[in-house]
Amino acid sequence: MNYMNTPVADAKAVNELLARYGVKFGIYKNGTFNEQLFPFDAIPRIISAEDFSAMEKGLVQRVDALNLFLKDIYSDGKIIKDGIIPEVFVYISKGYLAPCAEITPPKGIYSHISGIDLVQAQDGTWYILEDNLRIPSGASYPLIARELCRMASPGAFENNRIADNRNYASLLRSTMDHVNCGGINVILTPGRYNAAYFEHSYFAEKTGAILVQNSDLFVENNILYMKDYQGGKTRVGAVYRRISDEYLDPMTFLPESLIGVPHIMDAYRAGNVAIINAPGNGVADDKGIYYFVPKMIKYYLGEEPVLKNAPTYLPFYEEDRKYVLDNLEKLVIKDVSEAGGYGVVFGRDMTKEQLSDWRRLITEQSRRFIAQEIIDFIDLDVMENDRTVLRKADLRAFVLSGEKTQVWASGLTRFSRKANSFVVNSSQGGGFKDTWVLLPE
Amino acid sequence: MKRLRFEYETKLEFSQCVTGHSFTLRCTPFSDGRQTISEPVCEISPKLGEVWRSRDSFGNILICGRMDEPHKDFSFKVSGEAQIVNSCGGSGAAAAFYGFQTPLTFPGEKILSFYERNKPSAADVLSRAEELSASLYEHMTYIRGVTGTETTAEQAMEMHSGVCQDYAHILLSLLRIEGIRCRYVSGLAFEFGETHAWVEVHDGVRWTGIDPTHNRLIGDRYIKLCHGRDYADCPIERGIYIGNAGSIQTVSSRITEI
Ligand SMILES: Nc1ncnc2c1ncn2[C@@H]1O[C@H](COP(=O)(O)OP(=O)(O)O)[C@@H](O)[C@H]1O
Ligand SMILES: [Mg+2]
Repeated sequence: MNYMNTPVADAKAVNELLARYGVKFGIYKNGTFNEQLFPFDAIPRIISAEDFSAMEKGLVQRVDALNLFLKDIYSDGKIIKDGIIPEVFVYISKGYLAPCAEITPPKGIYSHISGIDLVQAQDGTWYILEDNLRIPSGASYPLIARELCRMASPGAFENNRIADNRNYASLLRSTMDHVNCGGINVILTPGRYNAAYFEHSYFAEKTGAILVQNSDLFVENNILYMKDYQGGKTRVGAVYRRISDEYLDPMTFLPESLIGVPHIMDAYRAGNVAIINAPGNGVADDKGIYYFVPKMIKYYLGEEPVLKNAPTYLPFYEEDRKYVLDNLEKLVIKDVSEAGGYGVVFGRDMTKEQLSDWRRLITEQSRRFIAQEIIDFIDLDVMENDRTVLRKADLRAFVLSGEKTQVWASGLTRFSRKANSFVVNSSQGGGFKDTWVLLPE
Repeated sequence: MKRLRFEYETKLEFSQCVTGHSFTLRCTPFSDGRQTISEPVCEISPKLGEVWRSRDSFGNILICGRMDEPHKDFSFKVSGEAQIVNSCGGSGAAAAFYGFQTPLTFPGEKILSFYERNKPSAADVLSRAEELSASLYEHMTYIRGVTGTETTAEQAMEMHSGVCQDYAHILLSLLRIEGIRCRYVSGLAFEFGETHAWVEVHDGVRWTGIDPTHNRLIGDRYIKLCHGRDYADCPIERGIYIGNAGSIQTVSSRITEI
């Protein structure tokens, strides 16, 4: 069966619906905030059952190791003492939060919802490009797009062996329930002006969690409560918070935060509420730490990594630095403290002058950058003005850690809308596709 | 050994009524190898809303609270007795994060060049710290009002002046260049009518307090209230409230020998 010819909804109609539902995301450009649509392309990415099953093993393994790493770093730091990871990579990472030291989150889970970015090379090998363990967003896009496509052409889903992706809501719900410390589940949003507000309200509706803002919550005696309109209070057992660590609790982190909940960290420390994902996770998805993830898998699980990292060099190590300086024109350079595609530059796009500036910068600030071999990942068909063109695409897989670690049989496929561009981030103008995982024959 | 009676009070007067006031106080001293605290009492006024205890990752005692009702002043008063045994700040391991710079201690050109000019010569950690403290003491002038709570070590070094908080931040920065684990301490000292700040240095076995503002090891006339990697980790009082109000703060403390 040729799935590419499967009738799917008219992308234009779906995009109009997405716009009407307010499925948008926001980007910062030159200091100003712009809301923009995330264009949908109707041709799905298709992943075979065998491919998915291998990927699944690798992702579960990786997320389990990352969770063990976080637990270790915020307690004994054995992996440092055993010389696997130099301590400087951990403690000067922006994501390492000393106020989280010695806190064990409910059930020992730090990363409940992990968004792992992968690309598939021309030879079919999948490579991990990045782990997102803080507030990975985007799961709602393929869900909604599928919902709309299903309405437009139900046949496409009835006749094909495509894994139903509607179980995301129940996965999310059981992830929250698993760590809930007694009380209700809430989703904490910064508010309707946040560009991801649609996703927040969508998940609340689908999981039965209550959508709240900080003013709906308060802490008393190290217990988190939600206010109700009768002047009463309801205990909260789990918070899926969609605000970042720095803004989470003005009593512990940025005092000027107007969207956080004062003393929520005290309730969390006392073991009275689960925070999803745990604060402090940024230390594990730091681009510098990425290099060490395959080592973590061996160290904590005693297993060989199933999924490969892109070949990565740390200029911090002399040998790597030499290689990076000698081969800069064929590598990708990433600033460890940036995200959203902003700190990613390709050596092949640089002028002679820029190359030598970069060499100097890398030598001077060796901990600030990592370098990678360019993965020539596959292009997918994308509709552009009624004809198909080939565009680079990656995949964000969602891994949920509750009672067990599970990979959602779908994912967010992002593609570049510029020909020959390798950067697919939505903030760089990329679009998205639904991801169909096929069921075994 | 000394027995001291301490009393410490902070009063905040707001320019107009505030509501939705949340606060965290690190004003209650706790016992460690050096000081044994008995019966610390913390009184908070006005008596509105809930007050409870918590603990932070650095081991400090927190008094947390929320006052939703309008109020125009806020004060807390701690008192108790302390028994001080020696000049050490307690034994035991030091968390690794104490060895790394923070945004407030991160050295710039000024601190790095000061360090180059004043590299200590002794072999042991504590003597090196004392040498650095002595050089710093020589270099700096104690002046009030030129720095604030958000001034970084580098900025204070550039002005070569500041108050105890700045002296402490610079010393922490210098020690961390050396990879020495050290922490910021807020507390009370016998001869001051307000709070003081100093540094504790870990030599691999135990913590020792060193006061760079006076260039000496802390004696038995210092009472520690709290500690962290820098000031930002452990302010004695942190609060937020609703209301477009300014505030005037008065601090007083008294230590007497028993
Ligand atoms: N090694 C690589 N080879 C090819 N393309 C890459 C490579 N690394 C990153 N990219 C492209 O750049 C994008 C951003 O890189 P990523 O590491 O995910 O950083 P960010 O945190 O900015 O998203 C990726 O989604 C991918 O499209
Ligand atoms: Mg990315």
